[in-house]
Amino acid sequence: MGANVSSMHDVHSSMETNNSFVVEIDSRRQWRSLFDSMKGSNKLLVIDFTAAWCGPCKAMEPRVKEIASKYSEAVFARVDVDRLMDVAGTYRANTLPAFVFVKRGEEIDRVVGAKPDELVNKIEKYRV
Amino acid sequence: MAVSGFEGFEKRLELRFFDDDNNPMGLRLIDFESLDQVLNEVQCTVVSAVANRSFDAYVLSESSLFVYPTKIIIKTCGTTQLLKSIRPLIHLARNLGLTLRACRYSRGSFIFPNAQPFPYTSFKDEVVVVEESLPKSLCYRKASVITPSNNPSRSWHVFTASADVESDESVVVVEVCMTELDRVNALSFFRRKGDEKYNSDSAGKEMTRLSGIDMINANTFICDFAFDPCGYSMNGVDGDRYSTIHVTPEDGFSYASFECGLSLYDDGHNDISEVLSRAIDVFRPSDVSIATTYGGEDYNHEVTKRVERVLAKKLGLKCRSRHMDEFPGSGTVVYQSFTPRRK
Repeated sequence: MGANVSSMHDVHSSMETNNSFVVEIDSRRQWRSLFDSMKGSNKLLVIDFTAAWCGPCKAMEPRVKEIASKYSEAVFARVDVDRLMDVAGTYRANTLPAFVFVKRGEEIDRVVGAKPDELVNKIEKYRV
Repeated sequence: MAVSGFEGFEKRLELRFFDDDNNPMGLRLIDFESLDQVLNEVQCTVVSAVANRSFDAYVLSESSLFVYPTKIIIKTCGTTQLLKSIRPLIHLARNLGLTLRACRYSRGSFIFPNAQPFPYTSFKDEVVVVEESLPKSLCYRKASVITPSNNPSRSWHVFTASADVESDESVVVVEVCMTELDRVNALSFFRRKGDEKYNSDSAGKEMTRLSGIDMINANTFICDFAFDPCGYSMNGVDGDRYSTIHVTPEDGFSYASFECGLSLYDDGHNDISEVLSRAIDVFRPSDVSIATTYGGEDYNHEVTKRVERVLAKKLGLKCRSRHMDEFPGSGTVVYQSFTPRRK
């Protein structure tokens, strides 16, 4: 699994944590860099908003990893709402988990709640 | 009345713990695998979930689970073994340094009492099981069955145990149980032919919209779920306030419940009587019972009367009986029964 990681997220390989299909965003700079780099492409960006206090987020984590690995043409970015408060504020992420779908810099949809079937449905709808 | 069918009436368990200033997240730190294991014992599972800064809300295959830092509420229907969760939950809380403060177990009367497993065949047996699971520190205990004279088959059963003689709970809990739902209204909660393209989440969203449940409280974020071929559950999240609705729409044993935690000081659109009126209007039932639990000194008779006035005026529901009981360390319970005014 590890060998393919850098080819899937060719622009962001330097940010990968080992074997992770979900990019953990640790700083605003990292967020800006990712966001700006995706504006020009037609790739789907799925922002996974989580928090330390969110039990449902932790329950959903293994499924998110699975889904991210299956739909590798989409970019999954995990944002902790307490660590990156302004990003969370921009996307009004108060009720979690919130999966926000972004294409060319614009939000096109979102799934709020631990709803793996709904998440998969929407990824299939928007990934092209 | 059907010979047997799904039991909509829920068993409800609430466990409250002492605050721990060292641990503001409290019970929310219980890891999901452990929660899942407890639910497994109860014979239910998580189907959807959502959280905000105040609490975690899980929709279960048989109702709901709410986890606050110092309070857990589990509500399960069907033939679930809810009381099996008490010991493991107390144990998980103790591992986090949290001490049990109070326990409340309540339910209405089952539509199919003979279909229930032991100890749920008799409230006396349930009380024995609860008592055995609780530490001696919860020394203020009371069990009570409130039986309305107009409808003895619709009793309300409550067992409370508390370490304090006074409750300091400021949240008022309102539990509404509705049966004989309007058949047309109940249709919203059946999956439609040809809707296979909808998964349970989007079908749930559709039911929320179609039934008007989204209009009960506009500020509430709704986490909904549709069961196949019928049935519906939702948890509502509004700041630190929870609400929950569960629907068994089948004719012959139709049932819907609405529960929420409120403050007596909500007014206007979110006034208790307005919220209840909108919630009951979704189902237009022929039988409604409302159990309201006030902690501490909060009992307000004006609220009780206002609810009766509003339901009579807006929904033509006449209050047929009203009973009150007091529980040491757990507050006051008011139990009202309503049926439609004869035309």
